[in-house]
Amino acid sequence: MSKRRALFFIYIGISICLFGGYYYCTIPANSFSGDHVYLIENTKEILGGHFRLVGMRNSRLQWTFPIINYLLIPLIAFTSNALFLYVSTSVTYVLGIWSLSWILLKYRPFSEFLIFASLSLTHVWSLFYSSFLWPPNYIPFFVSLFFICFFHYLRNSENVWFFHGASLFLNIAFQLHTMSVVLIFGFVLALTMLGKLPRYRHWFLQVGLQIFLISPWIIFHLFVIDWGKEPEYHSSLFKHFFSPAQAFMNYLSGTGLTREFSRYLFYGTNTFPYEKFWFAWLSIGGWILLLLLIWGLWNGHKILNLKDINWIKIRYHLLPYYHEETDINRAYPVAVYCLFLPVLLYQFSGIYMEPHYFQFLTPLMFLLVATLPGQIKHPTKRKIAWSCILVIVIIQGSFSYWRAAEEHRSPYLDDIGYTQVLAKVVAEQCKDNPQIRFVSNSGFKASTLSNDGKWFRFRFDPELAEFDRTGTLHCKLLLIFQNKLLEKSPIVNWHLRLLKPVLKLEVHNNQIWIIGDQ
Amino acid sequence: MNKIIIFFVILLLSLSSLIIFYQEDISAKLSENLNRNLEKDWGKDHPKFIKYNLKVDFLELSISWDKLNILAPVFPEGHFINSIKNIDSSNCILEVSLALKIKLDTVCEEIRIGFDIYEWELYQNLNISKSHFIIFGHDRNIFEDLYGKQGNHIVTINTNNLYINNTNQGDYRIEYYFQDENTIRININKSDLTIKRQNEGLNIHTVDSDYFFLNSNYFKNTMKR
Repeated sequence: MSKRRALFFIYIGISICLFGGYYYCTIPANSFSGDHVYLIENTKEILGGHFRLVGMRNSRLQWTFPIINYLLIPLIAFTSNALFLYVSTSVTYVLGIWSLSWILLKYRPFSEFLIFASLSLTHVWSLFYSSFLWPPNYIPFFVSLFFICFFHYLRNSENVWFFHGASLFLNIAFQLHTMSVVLIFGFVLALTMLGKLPRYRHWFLQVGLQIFLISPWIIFHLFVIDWGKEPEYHSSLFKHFFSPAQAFMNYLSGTGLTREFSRYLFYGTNTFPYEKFWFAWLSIGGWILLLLLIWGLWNGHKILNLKDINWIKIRYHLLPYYHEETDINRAYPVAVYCLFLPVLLYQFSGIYMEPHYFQFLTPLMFLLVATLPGQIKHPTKRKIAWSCILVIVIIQGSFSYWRAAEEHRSPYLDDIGYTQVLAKVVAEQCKDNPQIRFVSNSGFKASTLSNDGKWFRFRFDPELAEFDRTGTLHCKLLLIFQNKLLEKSPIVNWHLRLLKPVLKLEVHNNQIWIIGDQ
Repeated sequence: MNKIIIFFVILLLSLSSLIIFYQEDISAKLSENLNRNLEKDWGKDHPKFIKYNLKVDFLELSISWDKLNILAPVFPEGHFINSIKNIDSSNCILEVSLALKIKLDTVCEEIRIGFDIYEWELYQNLNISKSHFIIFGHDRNIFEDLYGKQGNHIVTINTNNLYINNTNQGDYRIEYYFQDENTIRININKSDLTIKRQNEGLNIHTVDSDYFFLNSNYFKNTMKR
């Protein structure tokens, strides 16, 4: 066995342990809501022969692309078990990372492989998003496949099918979340700057393929939609000028996951009593990562040598293979630089952004950082770069894996992997069907009234039906809350002291109080 | 390089001259715009303003008014904002000082504030309101709007006569600023209090004790059992 293969198998072994531990703890501790139900139900519709032209409505009330439903068909044909579908997201992330790692190990300096592998094993948001079912969470997998094709195309532009492959994977990433569109700009920029644009017939073929892939959505909006019944779409363009920078820093650092509640995440991680520590700790890592990205971009910019490009000559760059860059050691860092550069457009857009909008940066930013030490000639500066990368890996890794352990130690009992624990308690203790209320420091979430309750019942009721009902208590209400809440919130203590439960149970560091008729 | 510097110097001088030459027109236009915006009905969730003789002085960076009454918007029954009946101010001038933190210094002859009486339940030095609550669905925006606009400001209000529910409290100096996006720090006649937004509601911390307005979810599930 070659040394390279042995190294790769060692890496696979380590990453199986780390990824396995991480996902074992975090996948069952994820929330489940309307988006997940719609994903499953819409895909079942397709399986039933009703071919959907659009996905579901996004938070701005626009229709999304249906590609995620078509991608999920083979899985949902097999099972619609939510936990299994959540695992599928992790599997795609891991496969994407492994494939790209192999390419780096085979064709690039070992340092790039090492940095890429370390960052992808530790980055807070990337790991978090890869642990549950959601359309944007599959983006890193398709961006990895895009990179593999693009990298081969950079090495050998005669094989134009890699160009088409890369373009198709980018299209899928774009359909999974439209914010990935900047990668398409970056791809075109890279091809133009490196003289890698293929012959015109391939341009037309690719444009045709792109239109074909999004044609269901276009057909729906041209011929099917009833515009009179459409709600008013929300647009945030030029309204939130700090939002892209805040979301970008949040994505780099992972600070958003130190909060118990977050928009689009429902329950995050209850980091009490270490919330301030983790926020400060991750913020430091975020700033260092930002500096490294700027440093990496600057180095890429220097290689690009813009002096040879002027406005008069720029049209020549649109010619196929014009002044093609054939040295992969120059082409690769420039390509990564060009792909990243259009991300900065968002900083001027004033658009409202959330961290998950930046999922297309995984694994792009890991690749950009990975190119950095190899490009630095000065030994002291290179040591600084290595030290900074090490610090980021420690900071991000420590939080990611602490968070995973904490989620396992103290989950919420309405998380996807723990509703059956609750169903067992109800079956063993209660002779009737009580109302179930989850208490947090935001308030009470009822199992029957709200949408949250509807999604909870979607999983809980079938699980309860599987148990034999041996309970003898008359249960009117079940109050469920984490032990931490008693330490954290005087308001919760104030309310709970007034209650007289017939039974108090403790499961997974959660209190289950059974309230009968009082 | 020199040409660029000269260009910018000339541009700056020209703009300054224009501003000085047209200062009265600019002030009049700004007054008109501000009056128009305050008169506009922004909807039932927004406060309304009754004003008299409100003027902007552009060169002095100041706004003065003879009378400005703020009428609180009407929210669901029991909402904290509903408890504030009126905030009326007379003969005021607000001056803006541009520094690292923008300072808004307001001096008023008279300020009148009227609000409902609150009912409290005492729990371990924490007075929990039994009569009023907060809705973060609405208030989150109000709070974040305030922070977004005043996050880098220090506001001081000086008045000779502060009337609370028609009782004259005398000379008052109030200063407030946002400590962070969840906390307003207020100094009233050299005594500090903080208003902090928490998941459970709004905590008002004074030297002597704490007051708490529950969020609507907690209020409905605990006070109205």
